[in-house]
Amino acid sequence: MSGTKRETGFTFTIDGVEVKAYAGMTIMEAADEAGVYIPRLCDHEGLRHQGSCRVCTVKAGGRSVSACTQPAAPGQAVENETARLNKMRRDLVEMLFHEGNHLCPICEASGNCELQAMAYRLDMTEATRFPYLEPCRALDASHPDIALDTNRCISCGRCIRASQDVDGKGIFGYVGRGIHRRVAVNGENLADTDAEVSDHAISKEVCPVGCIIRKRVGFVTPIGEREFDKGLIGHEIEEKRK
Amino acid sequence: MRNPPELVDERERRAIQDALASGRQRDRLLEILLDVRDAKGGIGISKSGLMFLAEQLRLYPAEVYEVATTYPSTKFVSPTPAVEKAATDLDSEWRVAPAKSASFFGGLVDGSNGSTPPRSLADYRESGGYEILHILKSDPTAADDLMQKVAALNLKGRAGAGFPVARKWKQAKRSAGTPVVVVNGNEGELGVFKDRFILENEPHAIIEAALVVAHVTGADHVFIYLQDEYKFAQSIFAKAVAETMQAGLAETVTLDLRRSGGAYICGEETTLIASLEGRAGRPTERPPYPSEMGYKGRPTIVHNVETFFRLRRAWGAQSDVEIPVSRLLDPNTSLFSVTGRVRNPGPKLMSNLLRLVDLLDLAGGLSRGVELGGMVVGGSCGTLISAVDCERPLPDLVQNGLTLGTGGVFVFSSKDDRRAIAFEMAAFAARESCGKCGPCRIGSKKAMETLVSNGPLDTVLIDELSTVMAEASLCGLGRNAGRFLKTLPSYFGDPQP
Repeated sequence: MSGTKRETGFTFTIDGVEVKAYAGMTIMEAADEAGVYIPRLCDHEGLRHQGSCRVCTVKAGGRSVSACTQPAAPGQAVENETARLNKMRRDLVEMLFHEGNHLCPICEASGNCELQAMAYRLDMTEATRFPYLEPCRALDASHPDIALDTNRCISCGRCIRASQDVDGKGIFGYVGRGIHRRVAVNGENLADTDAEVSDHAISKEVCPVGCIIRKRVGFVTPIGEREFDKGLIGHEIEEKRK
Repeated sequence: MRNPPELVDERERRAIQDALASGRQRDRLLEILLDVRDAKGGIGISKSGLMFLAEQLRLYPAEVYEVATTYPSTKFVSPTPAVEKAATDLDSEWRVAPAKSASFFGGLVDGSNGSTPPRSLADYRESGGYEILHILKSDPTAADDLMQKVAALNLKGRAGAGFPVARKWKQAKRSAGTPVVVVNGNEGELGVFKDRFILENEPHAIIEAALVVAHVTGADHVFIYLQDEYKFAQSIFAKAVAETMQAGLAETVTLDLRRSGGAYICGEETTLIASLEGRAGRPTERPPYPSEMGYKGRPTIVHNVETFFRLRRAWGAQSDVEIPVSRLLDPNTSLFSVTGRVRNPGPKLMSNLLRLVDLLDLAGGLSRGVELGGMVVGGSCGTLISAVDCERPLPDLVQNGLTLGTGGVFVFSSKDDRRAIAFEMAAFAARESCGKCGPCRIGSKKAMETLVSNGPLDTVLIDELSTVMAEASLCGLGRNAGRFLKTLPSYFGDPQP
């Protein structure tokens, strides 16, 4: 919250670590600045908060809340890295694996994928115990520069918010309810929309998985030198404290 | 859209234009889609119609598509791409569920409930109705007195959460902007129809109470949001609202009748407000609380129908033997929705100091040849009460943790398959999940699948799912469904410790 006036600061704690915050900040924003990492998938810097993946669930004042939407409160004791919360987060991440078709070894996002990286961070080191749903989802390669493999979509909606709020385009949107809720494009297929490879929504950082694919660049960075090959997801935030 | 849009059928185009004639604001989007559906004889808008509508409203087609697909009442059928059709085995269980519900939780969904006609405006005024509005207008201190009375009586919301009424009003008055009042008539809980009973009998009691709340809080707009399936109640309210306006009882307040999106989640406050604004039917995280920042950023006071009805105690409304529903003005009386293996299912008024078996007498006794197996109390996240415990006084059960919730009571026989009942409850959550948050979207589906399989129940999996759903879900739907899963062992005969 760089625009916020900073005269009304206060402190609260996350797992006993004192964290500084300012009026209007969420728990996660304050934590990020203080170098405390709270796992998240649907929240992304520069995009409006949605609070839908629930991976950032923390305990604040005895209640389970999503850290990306809950305002920080003076003196509050927040629990983040507890065994119980991390177990729940791992279950949540496993459920996402089970909902789609996430075949890491053949996915070009492997190593750059936040879902995969989160699974490693949360110690999900074997196949999920939840039976897979194995849906059959569409591949859209109609656009000359962009492809969509919705088998890998986790419905985080980052592309929707980036397209609507940053690009001012509205190329993506949600459709459906319940287990059928999906991200869809604003037309018959992607070639039908105004999508361009230079859109923020299409950029490498917005889609956390391998659903939005920029054609012809997938293997430019070899496996072993990719983002999460360098360290656990969240390490950049955590390094601020060291 | 670069491709030329498909042509809209002439009849449908006219239906859309007619619907747009009553207002082209975005917030009417759901109403427009429902008007088009009605003009087409119950068939939802077509895809090409949706594109035409988007163009007319200057919205992205994807936005209109999103709204149409999140509300079941629009009856919009999204064309399924060929590649997705292969995945329909994923859906097979979903089709079974509604048919099963009919046998188990069958009750009163459509048409009149056979009660007496609603009380007319003249009759209502004769017994002192609407006088409170006169008092509030002529005595400037009356509003504060009333607010204190409501706080002193400790009146609480009746939609399940039990939030103190006066606190919502205070929050709204403290917040910036002119408040809005919403009558939440979207009851959609499994086998629950108590609000409908009130709506169809005493429309003026609800309108009067809503106008009082508007006066006390300074609101200028009252939405009366009724379940889409409650056609009979809608017609009663259309007439009652017109009468109220004609009689000059709502001069400073706009009374706005709206239909729901046909989903249980539409009764959740933030989702209800989203549908009033013509946005997709999904909850948003609080804070901000609707009473601080709700409809179009204005403080919004949402109470359910029964809450408004019971409010009248604060200005001295008394129960009347001629009007059975007025017994609800007694805080010790509850309105139960009784379904299942009874001769005469329906809304039943009973003292909440009695026993659950006493409800059987009010419902004409058990169906022929049936032995009581037990009852499920509290709807889709309800608690299973054994036949023995149904003999205990309700206050005893409540003391031991039973919550009556919205007062749904499903009576089952000793021969009914308890796993099938549990499946129904889990299937309800899966059917009604909006899909926004992972724990509810995936967890409810998973829970349903686990129950429908024939093997022994995977209790470890159920326990993990229930924890994730109860603790991590965004709104009460997923959280309550998770809490229900925790009680599952009791559905299989093992007495719960």
